[in-house]
Amino acid sequence: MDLLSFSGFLGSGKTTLILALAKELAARGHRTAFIVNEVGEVGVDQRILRDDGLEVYEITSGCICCQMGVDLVKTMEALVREERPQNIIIEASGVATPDGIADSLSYYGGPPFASTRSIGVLDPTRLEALIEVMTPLIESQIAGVDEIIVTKTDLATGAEVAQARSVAERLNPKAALRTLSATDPVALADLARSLAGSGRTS
Amino acid sequence: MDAATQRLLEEKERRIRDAVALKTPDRVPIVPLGDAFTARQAGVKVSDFCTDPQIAYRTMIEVFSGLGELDGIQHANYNVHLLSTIWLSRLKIPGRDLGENDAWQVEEIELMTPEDYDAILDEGFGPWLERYFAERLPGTAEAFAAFVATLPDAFAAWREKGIVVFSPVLATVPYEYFCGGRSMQQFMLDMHRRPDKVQAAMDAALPFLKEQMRQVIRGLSLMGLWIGGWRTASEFLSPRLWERFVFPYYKELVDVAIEEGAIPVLHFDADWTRDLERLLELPKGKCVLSLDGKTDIFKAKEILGDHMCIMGDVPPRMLSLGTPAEVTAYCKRLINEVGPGGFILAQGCCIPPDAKYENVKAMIDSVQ
Repeated sequence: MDLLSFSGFLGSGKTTLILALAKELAARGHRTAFIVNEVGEVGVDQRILRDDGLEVYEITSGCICCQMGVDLVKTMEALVREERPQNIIIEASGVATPDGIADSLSYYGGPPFASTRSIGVLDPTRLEALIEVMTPLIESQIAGVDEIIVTKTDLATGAEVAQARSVAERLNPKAALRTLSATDPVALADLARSLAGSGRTS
Repeated sequence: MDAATQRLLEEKERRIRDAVALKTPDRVPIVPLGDAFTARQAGVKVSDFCTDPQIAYRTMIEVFSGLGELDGIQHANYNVHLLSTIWLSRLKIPGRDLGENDAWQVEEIELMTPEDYDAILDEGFGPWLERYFAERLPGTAEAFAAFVATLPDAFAAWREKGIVVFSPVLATVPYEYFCGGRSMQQFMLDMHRRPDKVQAAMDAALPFLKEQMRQVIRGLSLMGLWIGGWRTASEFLSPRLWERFVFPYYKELVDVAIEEGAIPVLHFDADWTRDLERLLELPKGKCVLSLDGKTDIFKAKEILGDHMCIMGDVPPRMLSLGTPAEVTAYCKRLINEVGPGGFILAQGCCIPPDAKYENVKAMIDSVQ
């Protein structure tokens, strides 16, 4: 069982990317579960996703500090027990950081994961503004992740993508870096191939 | 109220006030906060608890009275619409939009528009706010008024149980209102695209918020009140913007609370470690810094221990997922290292709905 966790600010394109990726994994025969905030960035029609072979679990985030980590751990333990998926994808809240997710998962008491991989998502179209306003949050969402994905390349200018790449390389030079559009099936297939079973052995 | 209960209340209030004044009381006071947790423990539907203030305070008193010897309680009552009054947001309410025992949710959508900054400047914040509630959050003002009307009875009922009502009202800075109303995503971009307009609207809102707080303190004879910080935390915002849009507004609210003789409880969720030193600018021995487990409370003690009472911070996750032994060990560490003087023991933020009863009891018993 592999664990992929995605972090990135609100509106960075995480949900769109994850849904496309999860469908790609499901199409490849991977039993995939997706844990998403109940109040997600994009409406998630669970019935359609279930028809595509993807199980979706909602967690509540009424108060980001009190409840979210608890719900995440309990949801993971339940789905591992009941569904035994091959992949679990976590979409962190838009204000969560990889460290915060790891802290929550320290309470996870289910079977160990074969591998874990954390992915930070950067939206190049708004990065210049957000990095000025929210430097600490953007930095914490990128520093320490295993891979950084610069999204929305279909909407961003070349200069914006180049700036996002530069920010990613500066904040986390060790992370793998890729740029893609969630509407590009070839790029998504490549990402799914790369992420399936590619995480750090835990 | 009988004489013994009155004496007990005086003793507990003295214990809390000593901690706030940075003295070392006879023991560390325990002043928790829990809402939906009490509903679940009492078998009350969360949908009833969060919408009926009579049910809410009676449930809270019933559950907390059985948990051990509390010195005080942070909030005396609860109503879900309170969240709309500080974040200007729609809610998903159990029993209406969610299952009757689900957790309530703040719906983070863009309900306030950029044009509202101009409307605030043109109309004044008070009239604009009244119109905003009427047009975009109908029912909120009425629910809030009904909640406020129950507070005197709720205060009296807690006191009858010998429990001090410590900080039953909350106030916050304009940033939190706007961030909630605009949605965090849009508000962050506003601070980049139209910072002067945002600041002008904040400056227009602040006098109203100060006066409202002053009147509430006087009207309810408050011992203390929450001055809350959530999305204003240092972990989210660049230092330059925090200095401009956050800290000056907190200072002004704190000054008003102290002028009125109330204890400002800085209920600061998320991580404020970067800016702890700035809190040295607030009056010494008058405020409480209440942390939720994300700010480094031991660092806070190092920086602020001679200046400000610290409250907290048993992590909500520990109360839900940990064991009584873990909770007791953490509380003892807090009492020894952050206390015993100038310290109030409490959970971080709020006791979560699914906290284990035995863990909450372990926290409360640990001060004995």
